[in-house]
Amino acid sequence: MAYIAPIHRPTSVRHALRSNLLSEDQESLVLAKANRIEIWRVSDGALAMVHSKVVNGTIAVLQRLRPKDHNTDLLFVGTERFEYFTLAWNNETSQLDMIDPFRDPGEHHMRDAESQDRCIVDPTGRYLAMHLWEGVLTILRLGNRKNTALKLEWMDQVRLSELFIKASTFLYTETGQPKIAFLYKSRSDADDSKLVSYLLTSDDRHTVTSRFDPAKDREIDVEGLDPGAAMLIPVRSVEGEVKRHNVRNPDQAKAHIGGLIVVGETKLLYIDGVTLFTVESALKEACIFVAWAEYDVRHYFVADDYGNLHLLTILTEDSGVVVTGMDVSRIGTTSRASNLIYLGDDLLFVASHYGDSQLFRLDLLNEDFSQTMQLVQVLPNIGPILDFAVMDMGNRENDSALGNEYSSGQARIVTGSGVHKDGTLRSVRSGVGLEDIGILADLESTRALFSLQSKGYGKSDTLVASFLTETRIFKFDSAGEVEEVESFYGMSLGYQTLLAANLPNGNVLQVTTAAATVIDTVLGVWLTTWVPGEGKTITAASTNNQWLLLSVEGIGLVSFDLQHDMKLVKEKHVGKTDEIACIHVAPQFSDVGVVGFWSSGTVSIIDLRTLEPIHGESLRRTSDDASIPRDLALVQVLPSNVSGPTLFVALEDGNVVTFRIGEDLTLSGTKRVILGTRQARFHLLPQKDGIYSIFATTEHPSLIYGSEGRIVYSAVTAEDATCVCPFDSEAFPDGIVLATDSQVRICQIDTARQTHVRSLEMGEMVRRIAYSPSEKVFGLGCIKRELVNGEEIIQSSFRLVDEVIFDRVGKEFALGQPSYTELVEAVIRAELPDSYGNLAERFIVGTSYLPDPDFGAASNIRGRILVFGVDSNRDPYLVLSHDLKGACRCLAIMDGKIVAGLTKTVVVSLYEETSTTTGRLTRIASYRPSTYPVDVTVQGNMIAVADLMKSVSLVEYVERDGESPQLIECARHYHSAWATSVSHVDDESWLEADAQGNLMVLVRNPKGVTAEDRRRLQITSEMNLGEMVNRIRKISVETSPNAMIVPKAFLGTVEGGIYMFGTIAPHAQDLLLRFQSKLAQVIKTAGDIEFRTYRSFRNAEREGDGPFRFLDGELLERFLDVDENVQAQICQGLGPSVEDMRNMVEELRRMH
Amino acid sequence: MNQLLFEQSTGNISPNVFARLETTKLLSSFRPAPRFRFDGGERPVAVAGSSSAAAPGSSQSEAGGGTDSSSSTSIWAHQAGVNVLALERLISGGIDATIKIWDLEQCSNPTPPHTYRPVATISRAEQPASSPNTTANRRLGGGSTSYTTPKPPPGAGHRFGITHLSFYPFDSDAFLSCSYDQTLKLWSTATARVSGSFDLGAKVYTHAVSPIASHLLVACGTQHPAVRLVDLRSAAAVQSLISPGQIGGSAGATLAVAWSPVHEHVLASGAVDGAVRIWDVRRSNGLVGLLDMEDSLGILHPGRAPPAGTAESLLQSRGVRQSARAHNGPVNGLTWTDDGAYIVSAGHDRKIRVWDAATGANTLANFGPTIRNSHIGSLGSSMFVSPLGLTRAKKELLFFPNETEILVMDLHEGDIVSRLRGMGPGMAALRTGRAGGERAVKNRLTSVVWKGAGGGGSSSGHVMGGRNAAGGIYSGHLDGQIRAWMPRLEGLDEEDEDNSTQEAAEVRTKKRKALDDAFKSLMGRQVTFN
Repeated sequence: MAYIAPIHRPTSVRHALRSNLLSEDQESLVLAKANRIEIWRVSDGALAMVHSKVVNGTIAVLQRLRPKDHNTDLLFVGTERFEYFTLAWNNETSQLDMIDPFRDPGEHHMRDAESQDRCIVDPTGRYLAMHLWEGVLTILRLGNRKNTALKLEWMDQVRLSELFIKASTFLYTETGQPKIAFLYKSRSDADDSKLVSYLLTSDDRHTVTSRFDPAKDREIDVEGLDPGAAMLIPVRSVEGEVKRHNVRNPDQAKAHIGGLIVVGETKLLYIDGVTLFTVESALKEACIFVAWAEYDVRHYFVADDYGNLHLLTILTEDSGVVVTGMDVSRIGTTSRASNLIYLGDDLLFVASHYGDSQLFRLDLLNEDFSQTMQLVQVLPNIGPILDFAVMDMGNRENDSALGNEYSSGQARIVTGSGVHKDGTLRSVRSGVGLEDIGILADLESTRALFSLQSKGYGKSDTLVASFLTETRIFKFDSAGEVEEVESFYGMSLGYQTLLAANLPNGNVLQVTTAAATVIDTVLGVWLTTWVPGEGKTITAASTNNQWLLLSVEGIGLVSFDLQHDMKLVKEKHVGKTDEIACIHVAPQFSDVGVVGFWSSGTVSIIDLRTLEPIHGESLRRTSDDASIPRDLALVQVLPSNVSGPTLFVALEDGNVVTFRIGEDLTLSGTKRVILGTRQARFHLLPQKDGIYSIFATTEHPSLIYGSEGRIVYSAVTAEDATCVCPFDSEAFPDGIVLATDSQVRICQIDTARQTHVRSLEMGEMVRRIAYSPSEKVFGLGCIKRELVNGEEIIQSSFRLVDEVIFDRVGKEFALGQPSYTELVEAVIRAELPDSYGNLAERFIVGTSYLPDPDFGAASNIRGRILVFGVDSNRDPYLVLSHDLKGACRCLAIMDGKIVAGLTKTVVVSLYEETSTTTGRLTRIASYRPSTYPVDVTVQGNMIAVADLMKSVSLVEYVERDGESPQLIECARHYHSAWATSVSHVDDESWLEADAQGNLMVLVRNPKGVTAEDRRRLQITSEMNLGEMVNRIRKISVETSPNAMIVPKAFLGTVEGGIYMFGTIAPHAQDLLLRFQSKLAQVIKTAGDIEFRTYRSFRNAEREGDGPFRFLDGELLERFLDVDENVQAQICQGLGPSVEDMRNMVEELRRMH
Repeated sequence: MNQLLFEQSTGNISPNVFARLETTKLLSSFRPAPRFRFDGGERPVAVAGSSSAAAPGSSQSEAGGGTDSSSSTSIWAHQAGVNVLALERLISGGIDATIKIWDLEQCSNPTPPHTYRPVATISRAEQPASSPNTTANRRLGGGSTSYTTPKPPPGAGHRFGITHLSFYPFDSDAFLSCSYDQTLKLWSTATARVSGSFDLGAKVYTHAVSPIASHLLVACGTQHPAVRLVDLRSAAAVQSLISPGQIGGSAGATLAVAWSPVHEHVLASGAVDGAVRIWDVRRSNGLVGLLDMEDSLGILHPGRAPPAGTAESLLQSRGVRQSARAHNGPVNGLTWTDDGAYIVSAGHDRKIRVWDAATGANTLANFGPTIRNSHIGSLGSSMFVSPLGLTRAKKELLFFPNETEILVMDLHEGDIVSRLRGMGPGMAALRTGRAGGERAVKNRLTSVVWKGAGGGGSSSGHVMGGRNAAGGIYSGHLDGQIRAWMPRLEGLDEEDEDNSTQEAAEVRTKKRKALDDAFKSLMGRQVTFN
């Protein structure tokens, strides 16, 4: 049983278009990211998302259609599994309504097309041509009549004689008759380009499709084009004074505007769509163009493969319609574009798969070249994730990716993302973001922080920092300048301050360990002082604007009425049997306090007037449970119309217990959450409308806040915070002050959880990444691609990036030589014995040599294994370079031995260091998989080999006395899966991902009765993820015994998604499976594609019938989004109540 | 490939394209794989005297690479010669009327040598008393039993040589066989028991089951000119497809039948008279047309009526051709490409022709003079085109059993991509059924089959080589062997060896020097000048 949930949803934009989807007067940008459609709108010169919709399928086709007599567009969406539908925006519900789903029967006997345009729409927006199969064009159109205007009719599937179409487009025609042009090759291996155009229909009413007969129907038929041409740009015609039909003398005929441009690698060809006259222009330098967008009739943006943006200008004669040539000039650098969308108003959107998508403001008339383009907005994209490292699951002590199940403890994942020049290193973690504004001072072991306001000042301007033996005060001016003051209205600075607060009347309350004082800030005199008895100290203090509650030595409770000049109201001796562990005065209740006790482990709600308990609750679940409350908070976290106030109790063992407080102050609805291993301290952060968030500091700080009617615990991206206070000053509005063990900082904190991505631009591709916890560095295998004088240079290197400062350190180690190119294939980190026998931190790098195009594979050396150490300057130094006769594609460590997957062999080698800078690698055993190994994972003595074509085999490393060690294949998954990655899950089960986006959990049965049983890996769970997984990394997380899901691995995909994979505890399996199937029937997605068909396993060999024993966390979490009636409907007959189910799903959601 | 893997991981090329590039490479790199041997269990006759020594000797030398212990003795799949193979699991039919079922997953890893043993053997039909049925009995190949028995009971094996075997396309639990004994039999693979037998009253040369159809019609090519359709549901021969021109002197046996992979009712048949007929089994007449080798245009504009009065309409008004020849000799091989776009036919005129299935036009692909095809009897399934999705369009490869070699050719260009040779000696001594007699036969390929991985049919299918190998072709030979052919994988075979160490290099140079010296001392002639 397996579970998968997205941690970071795919961000790569494969399809983008501009359409009048929402309204007729404003255009919106539609993006497709893996299985989501997003609609963005330009507002104030920036993009803002209006709507997003999930599709049960990976989006392969996105187009806009314009029904007859309509002002708004339809969206046509197709998935990779040949399911199609159209969507229209419904203004009333602000939703996308589905109109017309249909399914391509998925012709089993056709071969998929390699054309880059899979689906094109004619300029009127009513004819749609899909080029899905080689040699077949599927033609659809929208209806003609009013009642069928929104309906897509399937016109025909025509056979084309042009098999190898590189690009296709509709042309602008004067008659409105749809005309289509194809750029094609004559043979699959031919290096040529030809251009033809056909009328799409053969009759006047445009209802009969043309026959596409090459002998009769071709209109344009041009051969001998630039062989590298792969792009067509249709050009509108403009009304000019010179009519082209007036040409009498064909010799003087000229090409007019209105036709198309064939964009080649070395030249451009313009073809007049009517007269078929051509104009050719050579490019200044060769370029591979990948995307285009129209600026106006004469100007087009074209983007090339290297991320350069060019402006293509059609040069015309004075009349403005006669084309004389074309010019391409480079105007700037962008991410490598997958689509260019010109949004109007000089805004250009660059959709990218290789890097971040970007929005630029253009100023084409600006003389200053550097000012032509200005980056306005970035839509971050962490895809394609080529490799990633799981940093820590919360704790740093262990070098393995061992973690714990703290509800808010978040994993940090560092990914190698982006391709070529868009390559970046990105640190991804989900949590509440904390952004440092400035460091106030380097102060060690701050005990507490309080913010104060000077008299008559609406904002905080004074910070009180409390230390064990003193108190220091900092004053801020309106510009944010800070100054430490020697005195502040006579506050006592020689003691530790337990509490400092402004009172509503402008006075300041200060409680130190020695005394509680109210100070008049106007006069600067002490108004009232209360001193505990001789030799006694105040140990705790809490206040709201009305009451002050003190604990003296843990045995006495004292309450004061602040509205009456801190009048002592009640003093109470708690007694010798028990001691007070913590006290709290509820900010929103006038006279209610909470007290927690040491030895009984109880909390009591007390009346501050009498200090008598109103209600009490024991926190111990069993009699020998030693739960001690250490901090309390009784606040309104959720809006009061949703829930009453909540009491939070931090226990000494890191648990946080919550109670709902009823109107009569009864405690109910106990819940427990683990935030860490030691007690949490609560710091209240007031929000709007009398709602509080709680910043809980423990070893993993969390923010507790209300969201969607639930209390959410979320990690904060500051690991080392010890105390916090809100600090809403003029210079730093809504800021907080945060103290760590060594510093006090001013920060800005998010109000809710987000996925935080920090990126480090590398300018080259980070192909492989390995993390060394002891050196605190990442070892990166990078590949740089550059154009030098029109020649592509590929250079690999190994380099280090520091984890803490998140930037490059040390020198890079360049791989390869001028005579041959070397590619990084694998980087791992290992502890290996050095020449003295001590374990040392090493990076192992596997490489391949590119075959030399001039000499072929001349030598027998096809790759290398290199071993690096890190020296004191944090430079990598080479210990060993071992030549191989095969490319080293993957590496793993097995008990100090190096396991390397070569071109078609898996080799186990012994590694010895002979001196500090020399080493030796000796082969001791090898194994040959079915085809080529692509990934190896080691668990104990078992090596899982992912095979390029034939799924996974398990190989055991056997050492017998007196014999040379052997690799023995002990089990295999008999299946033709094009595996990409494999990882161990637990015991005998393994997780495999294949190129078609399937996930399989394979189980070996070593206790099988027959040899047949033992040598076959069985699939116990399978599902299609819809994205190709590049890397699976195992994690181990300790979970509580009754956790439903045990996280086992993280997965990184090509589309930029990160997923968490887990196994499901046996007790939850049946329930969750039934829950999922019930949910799948109820939850609607765009296109109404069934969940079963979306998630069913599918490859060339086999098609599954829905996900098999696999839970999709994304679907389960959607349970929380539907309204309560639907929830009740889903839960009917399931067993648990709606509330229990909600809690369960919330728990699942907290996992990531 | 490393670069392609890299491109795939960036999402630049789709997995399908990547797979296609890989399989295209593998397809043209098939090599003999003598490490795989098929041991049918027959042993040389107890008195393996000098007379039979030739046979073991030949197979031994040929099997060279096998290090299996049993390679010291001779091994046959079918001692009397393999006549036909079919794959899903491998089944083989011998000239001696036996059928053997092999499990190719017996050897999980395709790298080390392996000798396959049949999981079940269906022996020749015998006297009811001696052996009532046919389960996996490993007996000496029909040497001891009497030859002339009365008609065997239904449920027994074939009596004469097997002519064609095929798996039931939707379920490998059943397969069909036909034989010179005039029957077509349906078997259960798991139990190796017959589950149906159809007597067609004439020698059955070949049969075919549609790979896609919902009907269960088996088309049989027999000695009789008509194509016989047997319905497995009703267990009856329901229909005979015969065209007017076929009755009379020119009529001859049907040697090849093949169902269209796209249209479930369309069937092609090839006959001794050199004609390839296209049938639609729903039509009463059946015949749709004949392929004409002189016609390189085909039917113009299929499915659309040309305007009346034009030359085109005249042409079409003539209706289907009633007589046309596809080959100047018997047609004994027919196959379709997986997308149903082309029909490939082979005839005794040593020609292979590729026809456009939509128009019936001869595409004039020329395969040159290397083609050998002279044996009467069907090429059955042994000529095949590489499955769809493994290559790019118009780059399909044709695998053709060319008597003593397998030719891999470009289907459209006719170029030879590779010739798979290594069949052992040209002549093989085979034991005849009776009492260990022996005859020398010309060794020749009788059958070639392609190993895929079930399922199939999908447009993005790139499955080759079953579930555990990069690819596989198996061939049956008259010398009794089944031989395996596998694609050569990229990379050096000895890549796992360490030769970087100094010692290894030294040892090698030393050895070479010693050899050199020995050679010189024996062959070299001292040249002295004086």
